[in-house]
Amino acid sequence: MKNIKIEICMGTACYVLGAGELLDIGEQLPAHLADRVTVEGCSCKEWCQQRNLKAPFALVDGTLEGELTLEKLTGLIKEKLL
Amino acid sequence: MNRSAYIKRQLLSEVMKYAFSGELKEQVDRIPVSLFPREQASYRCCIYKDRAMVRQRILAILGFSHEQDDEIQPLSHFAGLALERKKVPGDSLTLMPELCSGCDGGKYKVSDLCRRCVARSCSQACPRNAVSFEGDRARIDQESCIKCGKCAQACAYHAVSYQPVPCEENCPVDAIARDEAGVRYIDKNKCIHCGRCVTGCPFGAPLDVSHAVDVVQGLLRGRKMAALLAPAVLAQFPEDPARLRGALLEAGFAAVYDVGQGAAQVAGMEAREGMERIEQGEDGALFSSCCPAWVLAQEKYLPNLEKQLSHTPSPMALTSARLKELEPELQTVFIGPCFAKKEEARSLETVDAVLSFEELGALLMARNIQLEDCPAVGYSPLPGWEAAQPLHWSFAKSDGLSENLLFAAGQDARVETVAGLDRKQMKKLSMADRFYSKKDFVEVMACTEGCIGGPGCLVPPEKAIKNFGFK
Repeated sequence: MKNIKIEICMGTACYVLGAGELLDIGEQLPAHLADRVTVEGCSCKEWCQQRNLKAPFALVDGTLEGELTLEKLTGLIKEKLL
Repeated sequence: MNRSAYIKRQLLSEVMKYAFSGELKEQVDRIPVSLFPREQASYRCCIYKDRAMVRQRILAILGFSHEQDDEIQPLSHFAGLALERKKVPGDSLTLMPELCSGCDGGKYKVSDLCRRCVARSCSQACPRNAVSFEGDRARIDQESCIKCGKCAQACAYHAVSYQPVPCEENCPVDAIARDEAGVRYIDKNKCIHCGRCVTGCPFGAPLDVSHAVDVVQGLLRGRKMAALLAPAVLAQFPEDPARLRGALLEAGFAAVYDVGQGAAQVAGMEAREGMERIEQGEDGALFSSCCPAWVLAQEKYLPNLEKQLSHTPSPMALTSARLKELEPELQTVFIGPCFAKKEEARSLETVDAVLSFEELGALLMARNIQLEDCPAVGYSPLPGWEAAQPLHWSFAKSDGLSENLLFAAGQDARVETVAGLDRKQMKKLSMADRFYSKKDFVEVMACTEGCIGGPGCLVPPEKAIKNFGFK
Protein backbone atom coordinates (compact mmCIF):
# COMPACT_ATOMS: atom_id res chain seq x y z
CA MET A 1 0.00 0.00 0.00
CA LYS A 2 1.30 3.37 -0.98
CA ASN A 3 2.27 5.97 1.58
CA ILE A 4 2.62 9.62 0.67
CA LYS A 5 4.46 12.63 1.97
CA ILE A 6 3.04 16.13 2.09
CA GLU A 7 5.37 19.10 2.42
CA ILE A 8 3.53 22.29 3.27
CA CYS A 9 5.29 25.56 2.63
CA MET A 10 5.54 27.65 5.79
CA GLY A 11 6.87 30.72 4.07
CA THR A 12 5.28 34.04 4.94
CA ALA A 13 2.78 34.27 2.06
CA CYS A 14 1.61 30.67 2.46
CA TYR A 15 1.35 31.04 6.22
CA VAL A 16 -0.67 34.26 6.07
CA LEU A 17 -2.98 32.69 3.48
CA GLY A 18 -3.74 29.67 5.64
CA ALA A 19 -0.87 27.14 5.58
CA GLY A 20 -0.89 26.90 9.39
CA GLU A 21 -4.18 25.04 9.49
CA LEU A 22 -3.06 22.64 6.73
CA LEU A 23 -0.49 21.16 9.11
CA ASP A 24 -3.39 19.75 11.12
CA ILE A 25 -4.73 17.74 8.17
CA GLY A 26 -3.80 14.48 9.93
CA GLU A 27 -6.46 15.12 12.56
CA GLN A 28 -9.12 15.54 9.92
CA LEU A 29 -8.43 12.37 7.95
CA PRO A 30 -10.01 9.03 8.80
CA ALA A 31 -7.50 6.86 10.70
CA HIS A 32 -6.85 4.39 7.89
CA LEU A 33 -5.74 7.22 5.62
CA ALA A 34 -3.99 9.30 8.28
CA ASP A 35 -1.61 6.39 8.95
CA ARG A 36 -0.40 6.52 5.38
CA VAL A 37 0.28 10.24 5.25
CA THR A 38 3.33 12.10 6.57
CA VAL A 39 2.89 15.84 6.92
CA GLU A 40 5.78 18.29 7.26
CA GLY A 41 6.35 21.97 6.93
CA CYS A 42 9.05 23.23 4.60
CA SER A 43 10.71 26.56 3.99
CA CYS A 44 9.79 28.93 1.17
CA LYS A 45 10.81 27.67 -2.26
CA GLU A 46 9.40 30.69 -4.09
CA TRP A 47 6.48 28.71 -5.53
CA CYS A 48 4.42 31.87 -4.98
CA GLN A 49 6.40 33.67 -7.68
CA GLN A 50 4.53 31.74 -10.36
CA ARG A 51 1.72 33.96 -11.60
CA ASN A 52 -0.80 31.27 -12.48
CA LEU A 53 -0.93 29.53 -9.09
CA LYS A 54 -1.80 30.95 -5.68
CA ALA A 55 -0.68 30.29 -2.13
CA PRO A 56 -0.80 28.28 0.09
CA PHE A 57 1.37 25.66 -1.60
CA ALA A 58 2.33 22.10 -0.81
CA LEU A 59 4.08 19.20 -2.50
CA VAL A 60 1.58 16.37 -2.38
CA ASP A 61 3.39 13.13 -3.20
CA GLY A 62 5.79 15.12 -5.36
CA THR A 63 3.15 17.19 -7.19
CA LEU A 64 3.01 20.94 -6.57
CA GLU A 65 -0.48 22.04 -5.57
CA GLY A 66 -1.64 25.60 -4.97
CA GLU A 67 -4.51 27.54 -3.40
CA LEU A 68 -4.97 24.73 -0.89
CA THR A 69 -7.69 24.48 1.67
CA LEU A 70 -8.24 21.62 4.12
CA GLU A 71 -11.06 20.45 1.88
CA LYS A 72 -9.01 20.52 -1.30
CA LEU A 73 -6.06 18.81 0.36
CA THR A 74 -8.30 16.05 1.72
CA GLY A 75 -9.64 15.48 -1.78
CA LEU A 76 -6.11 15.27 -3.22
CA ILE A 77 -5.00 12.81 -0.54
CA LYS A 78 -7.96 10.57 -1.20
CA GLU A 79 -7.19 10.66 -4.94
CA LYS A 80 -3.63 9.55 -4.31
CA LEU A 81 -4.37 6.86 -1.74
CA LEU A 82 -7.60 5.31 -2.93
CA MET B 1 -9.46 29.66 6.26
CA ASN B 2 -12.60 31.37 5.04
CA ARG B 3 -12.44 32.81 1.54
CA SER B 4 -13.42 36.30 2.67
CA ALA B 5 -10.40 36.45 4.97
CA TYR B 6 -8.24 34.97 2.20
CA ILE B 7 -9.28 37.70 -0.22
CA LYS B 8 -8.70 40.40 2.40
CA ARG B 9 -5.15 39.21 3.06
CA GLN B 10 -4.35 38.87 -0.65
CA LEU B 11 -5.56 42.42 -1.23
CA LEU B 12 -3.67 43.81 1.76
CA SER B 13 -0.45 42.31 0.50
CA GLU B 14 -0.98 43.49 -3.10
CA VAL B 15 -1.71 47.06 -1.99
CA MET B 16 1.30 47.11 0.33
CA LYS B 17 3.54 45.57 -2.33
CA TYR B 18 2.72 48.42 -4.74
CA ALA B 19 2.95 51.00 -1.97
CA PHE B 20 6.49 49.79 -1.22
CA SER B 21 7.50 49.77 -4.89
CA GLY B 22 6.12 53.26 -5.45
CA GLU B 23 3.63 52.04 -8.08
CA LEU B 24 0.44 52.24 -6.05
CA LYS B 25 -1.36 54.87 -8.16
CA GLU B 26 -0.43 53.13 -11.40
CA GLN B 27 -1.31 49.59 -10.35
CA VAL B 28 -4.11 49.76 -7.81
CA ASP B 29 -6.94 49.80 -10.38
CA ARG B 30 -5.49 46.70 -11.94
CA ILE B 31 -5.79 44.65 -8.75
CA PRO B 32 -9.55 43.86 -8.99
CA VAL B 33 -9.07 42.86 -12.63
CA SER B 34 -5.99 40.68 -12.13
CA LEU B 35 -7.36 38.91 -9.06
CA PHE B 36 -10.81 38.53 -10.61
CA PRO B 37 -10.25 37.82 -14.31
CA ARG B 38 -13.32 37.59 -16.53
CA GLU B 39 -13.15 33.80 -16.94
CA GLN B 40 -13.03 33.08 -13.21
CA ALA B 41 -16.14 31.69 -11.50
CA SER B 42 -17.67 34.57 -9.54
CA TYR B 43 -18.58 34.64 -5.85
CA ARG B 44 -21.50 37.04 -6.33
CA CYS B 45 -23.85 37.46 -9.28
CA CYS B 46 -21.13 38.09 -11.81
CA ILE B 47 -17.44 38.89 -12.02
CA TYR B 48 -18.21 42.61 -12.29
CA LYS B 49 -19.98 42.56 -8.94
CA ASP B 50 -16.94 40.75 -7.54
CA ARG B 51 -14.71 43.50 -8.91
CA ALA B 52 -16.99 46.18 -7.42
CA MET B 53 -16.68 44.44 -4.04
CA VAL B 54 -12.93 44.25 -4.38
CA ARG B 55 -12.79 47.95 -5.25
CA GLN B 56 -14.51 48.81 -1.97
CA ARG B 57 -12.34 46.40 0.00
CA ILE B 58 -9.34 48.18 -1.44
CA LEU B 59 -10.85 51.52 -0.44
CA ALA B 60 -10.93 50.37 3.19
CA ILE B 61 -7.34 49.14 2.85
CA LEU B 62 -6.34 52.54 1.51
CA GLY B 63 -7.92 54.04 4.62
CA PHE B 64 -11.32 55.23 3.45
CA SER B 65 -14.82 54.77 4.87
CA HIS B 66 -17.93 54.14 2.80
CA GLU B 67 -19.06 57.80 3.08
CA GLN B 68 -15.88 58.87 1.34
CA ASP B 69 -16.39 56.76 -1.75
CA ASP B 70 -17.16 58.37 -5.10
CA GLU B 71 -18.15 55.68 -7.58
CA ILE B 72 -16.86 57.49 -10.66
CA GLN B 73 -13.40 57.97 -9.18
CA PRO B 74 -10.87 55.23 -9.90
CA LEU B 75 -8.87 53.74 -7.04
CA SER B 76 -5.82 55.66 -8.25
CA HIS B 77 -7.54 58.86 -7.12
CA PHE B 78 -7.94 57.47 -3.59
CA ALA B 79 -4.43 56.04 -3.63
CA GLY B 80 -3.16 59.54 -4.39
CA LEU B 81 -5.04 60.96 -1.40
CA ALA B 82 -3.78 58.20 0.86
CA LEU B 83 -0.17 58.72 -0.18
CA GLU B 84 -0.33 62.45 0.55
CA ARG B 85 -2.29 62.55 3.79
CA LYS B 86 -0.56 63.68 6.95
CA LYS B 87 -2.68 61.84 9.49
CA VAL B 88 -4.04 58.34 9.71
CA PRO B 89 -7.73 57.81 8.88
CA GLY B 90 -10.24 58.75 11.58
CA ASP B 91 -12.62 55.81 11.39
CA SER B 92 -11.59 52.36 12.56
CA LEU B 93 -14.49 50.44 11.02
CA THR B 94 -16.72 50.90 8.00
CA LEU B 95 -19.40 48.82 6.31
CA MET B 96 -19.04 48.84 2.53
CA PRO B 97 -22.41 48.77 0.73
CA GLU B 98 -21.23 46.82 -2.35
CA LEU B 99 -20.25 43.92 -0.15
CA CYS B 100 -23.40 43.93 1.98
CA SER B 101 -25.97 41.44 0.73
CA GLY B 102 -28.78 43.24 2.57
CA CYS B 103 -29.77 40.18 4.63
CA ASP B 104 -33.51 39.74 4.92
CA GLY B 105 -33.05 37.95 8.22
CA GLY B 106 -33.75 38.14 11.92
CA LYS B 107 -36.82 36.03 11.17
CA TYR B 108 -38.17 32.54 11.26
CA LYS B 109 -38.54 31.15 7.74
CA VAL B 110 -40.08 28.06 6.17
CA SER B 111 -37.70 26.27 3.80
CA ASP B 112 -38.44 23.84 0.97
CA LEU B 113 -38.02 21.03 3.51
CA CYS B 114 -41.65 21.77 4.32
CA ARG B 115 -43.84 18.97 2.94
CA ARG B 116 -47.14 20.70 3.50
CA CYS B 117 -48.10 17.94 5.90
CA VAL B 118 -51.46 17.08 7.31
CA ALA B 119 -50.62 17.54 11.01
CA ARG B 120 -49.64 21.23 10.59
CA SER B 121 -47.91 21.18 13.98
CA CYS B 122 -46.28 24.52 13.22
CA SER B 123 -49.58 26.28 13.04
CA GLN B 124 -50.86 24.43 16.10
CA ALA B 125 -47.81 25.52 18.10
CA CYS B 126 -47.98 29.17 17.14
CA PRO B 127 -49.38 31.38 19.94
CA ARG B 128 -50.22 34.19 17.51
CA ASN B 129 -51.83 32.35 14.60
CA ALA B 130 -49.05 33.56 12.35
CA VAL B 131 -48.77 30.38 10.26
CA SER B 132 -50.93 29.89 7.16
CA PHE B 133 -50.94 27.46 4.20
CA GLU B 134 -51.51 29.26 0.90
CA GLY B 135 -49.14 27.94 -1.78
CA ASP B 136 -46.75 24.99 -1.65
CA ARG B 137 -45.53 25.37 1.90
CA ALA B 138 -46.41 26.83 5.28
CA ARG B 139 -46.07 30.59 5.47
CA ILE B 140 -45.23 32.77 8.46
CA ASP B 141 -46.84 36.22 8.70
CA GLN B 142 -43.86 38.24 9.88
CA GLU B 143 -46.07 41.06 11.20
CA SER B 144 -47.73 38.75 13.72
CA CYS B 145 -44.73 36.55 14.46
CA ILE B 146 -43.21 37.09 17.92
CA LYS B 147 -40.13 34.93 17.20
CA CYS B 148 -40.82 32.45 19.98
CA GLY B 149 -39.52 29.55 17.84
CA LYS B 150 -42.31 27.15 18.78
CA CYS B 151 -43.11 26.43 15.12
CA ALA B 152 -39.47 25.48 14.48
CA GLN B 153 -39.47 23.12 17.45
CA ALA B 154 -42.77 21.55 16.41
CA CYS B 155 -41.91 20.75 12.80
CA ALA B 156 -41.00 17.08 12.28
CA TYR B 157 -39.06 17.92 9.11
CA HIS B 158 -37.01 20.72 10.66
CA ALA B 159 -38.38 22.87 7.90
CA VAL B 160 -38.60 26.05 9.98
CA SER B 161 -35.45 27.84 11.06
CA TYR B 162 -34.30 31.16 12.37
CA GLN B 163 -32.24 33.01 9.81
CA PRO B 164 -29.99 35.48 11.54
CA VAL B 165 -28.41 38.67 10.29
CA PRO B 166 -24.88 37.82 11.37
CA CYS B 167 -23.56 41.35 11.80
CA GLU B 168 -26.56 42.32 13.93
CA GLU B 169 -26.43 39.10 15.97
CA ASN B 170 -22.74 39.50 16.66
CA CYS B 171 -22.93 43.12 17.71
CA PRO B 172 -23.18 43.33 21.50
CA VAL B 173 -24.58 46.87 21.49
CA ASP B 174 -27.08 46.97 18.66
CA ALA B 175 -24.97 49.35 16.59
CA ILE B 176 -25.92 48.02 13.16
CA ALA B 177 -28.64 50.02 11.40
CA ARG B 178 -30.18 49.62 7.96
CA ASP B 179 -31.34 51.81 5.12
CA GLU B 180 -34.58 51.35 3.11
CA ALA B 181 -32.93 48.83 0.79
CA GLY B 182 -31.77 46.69 3.71
CA VAL B 183 -28.12 47.62 3.26
CA ARG B 184 -26.59 47.83 6.71
CA TYR B 185 -24.38 50.52 8.16
CA ILE B 186 -22.58 51.04 11.44
CA ASP B 187 -24.12 53.61 13.77
CA LYS B 188 -20.99 55.44 14.93
CA ASN B 189 -22.64 56.79 18.05
CA LYS B 190 -23.40 53.29 19.26
CA CYS B 191 -20.37 51.37 18.00
CA ILE B 192 -17.72 50.21 20.49
CA HIS B 193 -15.28 49.11 17.73
CA CYS B 194 -15.01 45.55 18.99
CA GLY B 195 -14.97 44.19 15.41
CA ARG B 196 -17.35 41.27 15.99
CA CYS B 197 -19.34 42.38 12.94
CA VAL B 198 -16.18 42.19 10.83
CA THR B 199 -15.42 38.59 11.72
CA GLY B 200 -19.09 37.59 11.76
CA CYS B 201 -20.27 38.77 8.34
CA PRO B 202 -20.07 36.00 5.73
CA PHE B 203 -19.88 38.62 2.97
CA GLY B 204 -17.04 40.56 4.55
CA ALA B 205 -19.02 43.80 4.37
CA PRO B 206 -17.89 45.40 7.65
CA LEU B 207 -14.20 46.16 7.35
CA ASP B 208 -11.38 47.64 9.37
CA VAL B 209 -10.05 50.88 7.93
CA SER B 210 -6.34 50.47 7.47
CA HIS B 211 -3.31 52.58 8.34
CA ALA B 212 -1.23 50.38 6.03
CA VAL B 213 -0.41 53.08 3.47
CA ASP B 214 0.53 55.54 6.22
CA VAL B 215 2.93 53.05 7.78
CA VAL B 216 4.51 52.12 4.43
CA GLN B 217 4.95 55.80 3.56
CA GLY B 218 6.60 56.41 6.91
CA LEU B 219 9.05 53.59 6.31
CA LEU B 220 9.79 54.75 2.74
CA ARG B 221 10.37 58.32 3.84
CA GLY B 222 12.93 57.15 6.38
CA ARG B 223 10.94 58.29 9.41
CA LYS B 224 12.21 56.77 12.62
CA MET B 225 9.51 54.21 13.42
CA ALA B 226 9.06 51.97 16.42
CA ALA B 227 6.89 48.89 16.38
CA LEU B 228 5.01 48.31 19.64
CA LEU B 229 4.02 44.66 19.76
CA ALA B 230 0.96 43.58 21.73
CA PRO B 231 1.42 40.48 23.94
CA ALA B 232 -0.93 38.48 21.71
CA VAL B 233 1.82 38.47 19.08
CA LEU B 234 3.25 35.39 20.79
CA ALA B 235 0.91 33.03 19.03
CA GLN B 236 0.56 34.67 15.63
CA PHE B 237 3.51 33.31 13.66
CA PRO B 238 5.08 29.85 13.59
CA GLU B 239 8.45 31.27 14.57
CA ASP B 240 9.62 32.62 17.90
CA PRO B 241 8.77 36.33 18.47
CA ALA B 242 12.51 37.02 18.45
CA ARG B 243 12.50 36.35 14.70
CA LEU B 244 9.52 38.62 14.26
CA ARG B 245 11.42 41.46 15.93
CA GLY B 246 14.26 40.80 13.49
CA ALA B 247 11.79 40.79 10.61
CA LEU B 248 10.39 44.18 11.61
CA LEU B 249 13.90 45.62 11.70
CA GLU B 250 14.49 44.15 8.22
CA ALA B 251 11.29 45.83 7.08
CA GLY B 252 12.67 49.21 8.11
CA PHE B 253 11.46 49.77 11.65
CA ALA B 254 14.14 51.42 13.77
CA ALA B 255 13.15 49.65 16.97
CA VAL B 256 10.76 47.06 18.34
CA TYR B 257 9.25 47.20 21.82
CA ASP B 258 6.99 44.81 23.66
CA VAL B 259 3.83 46.31 25.10
CA GLY B 260 3.78 43.32 27.48
CA GLN B 261 6.22 45.24 29.63
CA GLY B 262 3.74 48.10 29.84
CA ALA B 263 1.06 45.55 30.67
CA ALA B 264 3.07 44.23 33.61
CA GLN B 265 3.28 47.78 34.96
CA VAL B 266 -0.43 48.37 34.40
CA ALA B 267 -1.27 45.28 36.43
CA GLY B 268 0.74 46.63 39.35
CA MET B 269 -0.88 50.06 39.07
CA GLU B 270 -4.38 48.60 38.90
CA ALA B 271 -3.70 46.38 41.86
CA ARG B 272 -2.65 49.42 43.91
CA GLU B 273 -5.67 51.38 42.68
CA GLY B 274 -7.95 48.51 43.69
CA MET B 275 -6.42 48.15 47.11
CA GLU B 276 -6.78 51.90 47.74
CA ARG B 277 -10.44 51.63 46.87
CA ILE B 278 -10.86 48.84 49.40
CA GLU B 279 -8.97 50.79 52.09
CA GLN B 280 -11.11 53.85 51.46
CA GLY B 281 -14.24 51.72 51.78
CA GLU B 282 -15.42 52.35 48.22
CA ASP B 283 -18.29 50.24 47.01
CA GLY B 284 -18.05 47.73 44.23
CA ALA B 285 -15.26 46.12 42.24
CA LEU B 286 -12.61 47.91 40.23
CA PHE B 287 -13.13 47.22 36.52
CA SER B 288 -10.07 46.99 34.25
CA SER B 289 -9.43 49.66 31.62
CA CYS B 290 -6.97 48.07 29.22
CA CYS B 291 -9.55 46.89 26.70
CA PRO B 292 -10.68 49.94 24.67
CA ALA B 293 -13.89 48.33 23.39
CA TRP B 294 -14.86 47.62 26.98
CA VAL B 295 -13.99 51.18 28.03
CA LEU B 296 -16.24 52.54 25.26
CA ALA B 297 -19.00 50.12 26.24
CA GLN B 298 -18.85 51.40 29.79
CA GLU B 299 -18.84 55.05 28.68
CA LYS B 300 -21.76 54.67 26.31
CA TYR B 301 -23.94 52.10 28.01
CA LEU B 302 -23.00 51.58 31.65
CA PRO B 303 -22.81 55.02 33.30
CA ASN B 304 -23.40 53.37 36.69
CA LEU B 305 -19.94 51.87 36.49
CA GLU B 306 -18.17 55.17 35.84
CA LYS B 307 -16.73 55.41 39.33
CA GLN B 308 -15.58 51.80 39.20
CA LEU B 309 -13.64 51.94 35.93
CA SER B 310 -9.91 51.99 36.56
CA HIS B 311 -8.05 55.25 35.84
CA THR B 312 -4.90 53.36 34.98
CA PRO B 313 -3.92 53.95 31.35
CA SER B 314 -3.89 50.98 29.00
CA PRO B 315 -0.58 49.18 28.31
CA MET B 316 -0.54 50.76 24.83
CA ALA B 317 -1.10 54.24 26.28
CA LEU B 318 1.53 53.80 28.99
CA THR B 319 4.18 52.30 26.72
CA SER B 320 3.72 54.81 23.89
CA ALA B 321 3.72 57.75 26.31
CA ARG B 322 6.99 56.57 27.81
CA LEU B 323 8.57 56.28 24.35
CA LYS B 324 7.38 59.74 23.27
CA GLU B 325 8.76 61.19 26.50
CA LEU B 326 12.17 59.83 25.65
CA GLU B 327 12.01 60.57 21.94
CA PRO B 328 9.25 62.96 20.81
CA GLU B 329 10.13 62.53 17.12
CA LEU B 330 9.72 58.74 17.20
CA GLN B 331 6.76 57.45 15.18
CA THR B 332 4.98 54.80 17.24
CA VAL B 333 3.11 52.02 15.47
CA PHE B 334 1.08 49.72 17.70
CA ILE B 335 0.73 46.25 16.20
CA GLY B 336 -1.94 44.11 17.75
CA PRO B 337 -5.07 41.97 17.43
CA CYS B 338 -7.42 44.86 17.97
CA PHE B 339 -9.48 47.29 15.90
CA ALA B 340 -10.66 49.28 18.91
CA LYS B 341 -7.05 50.32 19.50
CA LYS B 342 -7.34 52.51 16.40
CA GLU B 343 -10.17 54.39 18.10
CA GLU B 344 -8.19 54.60 21.35
CA ALA B 345 -5.19 55.93 19.41
CA ARG B 346 -7.28 58.82 18.06
CA SER B 347 -7.58 60.33 21.50
CA LEU B 348 -3.94 59.68 22.40
CA GLU B 349 -1.16 61.89 21.06
CA THR B 350 1.34 59.15 21.61
CA VAL B 351 0.30 56.51 19.07
CA ASP B 352 0.84 57.47 15.43
CA ALA B 353 -0.59 54.41 13.70
CA VAL B 354 -2.15 51.05 14.48
CA LEU B 355 -1.75 47.86 12.46
CA SER B 356 -3.46 44.53 12.98
CA PHE B 357 -1.52 41.24 12.97
CA GLU B 358 -3.16 40.50 9.63
CA GLU B 359 -1.72 43.71 8.25
CA LEU B 360 1.66 42.83 9.72
CA GLY B 361 1.52 39.46 7.96
CA ALA B 362 0.59 41.19 4.71
CA LEU B 363 3.45 43.67 5.13
CA LEU B 364 5.99 40.87 5.51
CA MET B 365 4.40 39.10 2.52
CA ALA B 366 4.64 42.27 0.45
CA ARG B 367 8.34 42.57 1.21
CA ASN B 368 8.91 38.82 0.83
CA ILE B 369 10.51 38.69 4.27
CA GLN B 370 10.89 35.12 5.54
CA LEU B 371 10.99 34.93 9.34
CA GLU B 372 13.46 32.06 9.43
CA ASP B 373 15.98 34.18 7.50
CA CYS B 374 15.75 37.05 9.96
CA PRO B 375 18.04 37.48 12.97
CA ALA B 376 16.60 36.56 16.35
CA VAL B 377 16.36 39.78 18.33
CA GLY B 378 15.84 39.41 22.05
CA TYR B 379 13.40 41.34 24.19
CA SER B 380 14.78 44.69 25.22
CA PRO B 381 13.14 46.65 28.01
CA LEU B 382 12.07 50.22 27.32
CA PRO B 383 14.85 52.72 28.01
CA GLY B 384 14.45 53.81 31.61
CA TRP B 385 12.25 50.84 32.41
CA GLU B 386 15.12 48.35 32.67
CA ALA B 387 14.48 47.84 36.37
CA ALA B 388 10.72 47.62 35.96
CA GLN B 389 8.64 44.48 35.57
CA PRO B 390 9.70 42.41 32.58
CA LEU B 391 7.45 41.67 29.65
CA HIS B 392 4.51 39.36 30.22
CA TRP B 393 2.92 37.20 27.56
CA SER B 394 0.12 36.17 29.90
CA PHE B 395 -1.83 39.34 29.15
CA ALA B 396 -2.61 38.02 25.69
CA LYS B 397 -5.22 35.70 27.10
CA SER B 398 -8.18 36.37 29.34
CA ASP B 399 -7.33 35.61 33.00
CA GLY B 400 -3.83 36.89 32.34
CA LEU B 401 -4.57 40.27 33.90
CA SER B 402 -6.52 38.60 36.71
CA GLU B 403 -3.60 36.34 37.60
CA ASN B 404 -1.25 39.28 37.68
CA LEU B 405 -3.66 41.23 39.87
CA LEU B 406 -3.85 38.31 42.29
CA PHE B 407 -0.07 38.22 42.37
CA ALA B 408 0.17 41.96 43.06
CA ALA B 409 -2.79 42.37 45.39
CA GLY B 410 -2.48 39.10 47.29
CA GLN B 411 -4.21 35.77 46.83
CA ASP B 412 -7.14 36.92 49.00
CA ALA B 413 -8.24 39.41 46.39
CA ARG B 414 -11.53 38.40 44.80
CA VAL B 415 -11.00 38.59 41.06
CA GLU B 416 -13.44 37.83 38.28
CA THR B 417 -12.80 37.55 34.55
CA VAL B 418 -15.31 38.50 31.89
CA ALA B 419 -13.93 36.96 28.70
CA GLY B 420 -15.99 38.15 25.78
CA LEU B 421 -18.47 40.99 25.54
CA ASP B 422 -21.62 39.73 23.85
CA ARG B 423 -25.22 40.83 24.37
CA LYS B 424 -25.75 38.49 27.28
CA GLN B 425 -22.62 39.71 29.01
CA MET B 426 -23.59 43.37 28.50
CA LYS B 427 -26.88 42.59 30.22
CA LYS B 428 -25.07 41.06 33.18
CA LEU B 429 -22.79 44.06 33.42
CA SER B 430 -25.78 46.39 33.44
CA MET B 431 -26.75 44.58 36.63
CA ALA B 432 -23.27 44.76 38.13
CA ASP B 433 -24.72 45.14 41.64
CA ARG B 434 -26.21 41.70 41.32
CA PHE B 435 -23.35 39.87 39.66
CA TYR B 436 -20.11 41.59 40.65
CA SER B 437 -20.76 43.12 44.06
CA LYS B 438 -18.68 40.57 45.96
CA LYS B 439 -15.58 41.12 43.85
CA ASP B 440 -12.56 43.37 44.27
CA PHE B 441 -11.45 43.35 40.62
CA VAL B 442 -13.18 42.51 37.40
CA GLU B 443 -11.09 41.96 34.26
CA VAL B 444 -13.22 42.68 31.20
CA MET B 445 -12.06 41.64 27.74
CA ALA B 446 -14.32 42.29 24.75
CA CYS B 447 -12.97 39.33 22.81
CA THR B 448 -13.59 35.69 23.67
CA GLU B 449 -10.41 34.19 25.19
CA GLY B 450 -9.08 37.74 25.53
CA CYS B 451 -6.77 39.44 23.04
CA ILE B 452 -5.77 36.24 21.26
CA GLY B 453 -9.40 36.18 20.11
CA GLY B 454 -9.14 39.65 18.60
CA PRO B 455 -10.51 40.34 15.11
CA GLY B 456 -7.10 41.30 13.71
CA CYS B 457 -5.42 38.00 14.58
CA LEU B 458 -3.77 35.72 12.04
CA VAL B 459 -4.77 32.51 13.81
CA PRO B 460 -7.94 31.56 15.68
CA PRO B 461 -7.66 31.57 19.52
CA GLU B 462 -7.95 27.77 19.83
CA LYS B 463 -4.85 27.40 17.70
CA ALA B 464 -3.03 30.06 19.69
CA ILE B 465 -3.83 28.24 22.90
CA LYS B 466 -2.82 24.88 21.47
CA ASN B 467 0.46 26.05 19.98
CA PHE B 468 1.70 28.23 22.76
CA GLY B 469 0.53 26.56 25.87
CA PHE B 470 -1.65 29.31 27.28
CA LYS B 471 -3.67 27.71 30.04
